[in-house]
Amino acid sequence: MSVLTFTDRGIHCPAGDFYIDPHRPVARALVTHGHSDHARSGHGAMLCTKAAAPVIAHRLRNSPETIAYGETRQIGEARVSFHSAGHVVGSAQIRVEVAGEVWVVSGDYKLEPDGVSEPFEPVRCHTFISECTFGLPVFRWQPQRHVMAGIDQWWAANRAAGRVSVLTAYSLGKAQRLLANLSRDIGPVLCHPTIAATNDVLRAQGVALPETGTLTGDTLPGGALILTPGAASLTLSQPVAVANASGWMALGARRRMGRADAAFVLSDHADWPDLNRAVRESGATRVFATHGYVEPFRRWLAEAGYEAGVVA
Amino acid sequence: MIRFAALLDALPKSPDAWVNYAATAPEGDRSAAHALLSGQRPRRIAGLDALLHWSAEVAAVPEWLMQASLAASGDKAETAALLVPPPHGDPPGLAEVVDQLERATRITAHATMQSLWASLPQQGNLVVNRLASGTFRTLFPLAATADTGPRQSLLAVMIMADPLRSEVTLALWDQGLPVPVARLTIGGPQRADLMAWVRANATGRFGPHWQVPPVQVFELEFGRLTTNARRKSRHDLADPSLRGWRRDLAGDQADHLTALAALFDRQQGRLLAGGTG
Repeated sequence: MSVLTFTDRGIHCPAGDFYIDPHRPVARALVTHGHSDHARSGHGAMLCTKAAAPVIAHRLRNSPETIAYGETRQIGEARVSFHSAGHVVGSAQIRVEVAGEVWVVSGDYKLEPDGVSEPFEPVRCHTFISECTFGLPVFRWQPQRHVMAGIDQWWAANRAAGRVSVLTAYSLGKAQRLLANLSRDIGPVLCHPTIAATNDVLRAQGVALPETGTLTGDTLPGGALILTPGAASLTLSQPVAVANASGWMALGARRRMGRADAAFVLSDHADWPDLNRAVRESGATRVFATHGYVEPFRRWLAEAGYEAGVVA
Repeated sequence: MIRFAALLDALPKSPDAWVNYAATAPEGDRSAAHALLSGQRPRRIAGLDALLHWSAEVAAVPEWLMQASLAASGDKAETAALLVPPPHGDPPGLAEVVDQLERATRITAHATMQSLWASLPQQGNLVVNRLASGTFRTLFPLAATADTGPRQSLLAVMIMADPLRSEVTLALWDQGLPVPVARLTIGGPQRADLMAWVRANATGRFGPHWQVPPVQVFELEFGRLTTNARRKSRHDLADPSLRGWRRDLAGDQADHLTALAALFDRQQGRLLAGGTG
């Protein structure tokens, strides 16, 4: 029997009778991280890393069981452990071993350390289930420091022109990554309440984040940078410049769709070279692609000699 | 080259972009940029399909994966720019890039592109691909670049506004209907008043644009007029700006489209007269 199988509820481990990031309610869920397409409510029991638990508890209003990175736990006939994925704080790849055969589910991941999340740790396995959100060779990221310098420049130019800078970013992950890496000398930073609440949860568990203000009214200090999950809901009485920060901004069509004044290519997912590197470093001979450009990524791996499939 | 790519990015939104570029770019790059944005182009040396195949070849990407990439991007020049591997060495300036493209022939085009790609990052490659394939389209919003002719003005009426961007669309009358002639960003102390009026009086919305009754009149100033058959008004206005908000006037006191045509005639006459001297 396979260590993991693909069912209509998600990835299932028959030997331990648990699911990984299930998309429907199940009796026992192992969850890679707190984003809503991975951590859902309604499960009987949920297991995640200690570092992922506070945000999941905050978002889902429940208390998941926790496990430390690298700690091994026996569930039925399966031995499971969680290993950092570098995606957001607390994010994990999940290693499942049954009778000496090892499978790893990557969850979402990136290889470049972002200064906030626990850095990605390659885990050796026989079978690797890899996300491939950006699984095409047109996706190749610049080093983080270049992107951050570009955002700093944009912010400073807006300030000089008397504009408030509005930067859209996911409330868990991208927002904190920006906060931790952008300059502290250009102007005040204000966070949308959703982001501010997430920051508070992370600070309480010991994640070092610079102090910021919270966006309350529509009057802002000059030269401010606002971090918000979406710009559409903001009503500001000052001239603003809006920018999106996302891996999708690599594509002109996506930039034009976003209708922002500026766009920065910054992703918490691995780009094409790093997807390939992660597969190589896993040592796996069999790979299943999930989440993203699954068919091109599968075919690419198959042509490179892997036994390759898609999670279906 | 990198700065020219950044300039192209900034031009549509920031009238200062050219001024900043011109103040800091080396002389050769500045004149090359000016020529390109004024409509001069290097000769086309390769089609987009050829560029795409060459980029896939240099990236060691198989045909089917190139096609999957193109399907995601939807833009051949962009796909080719994103596929080629990261550069090594110092990127050449714009003048040098244009020079290389000018000197390339159909036979040397492949090698020229490989050598340019090897030294340019993605955003530079995109511009090079458009130049090489004859698909470079950007033109100056003639703002502060060159002589845009003597300033002339008309009274125009506001028909739409975008309050995050502080943008207004102004129109002239044509047989009882307003015809848009210019869209521009407003600033200054009256901006807040005007946008408050827009919010209070809007009659409809089209995306970010709020439709307003044609009652607010502005003195619209601009440089040279050029004909453009794609515009309802049949003309482009160089470097439009607002001289003032004429709250003393009613909407129907704005000028008619015939006044714009008359200014164009006069401008052409002046140019002709100048030519004889």
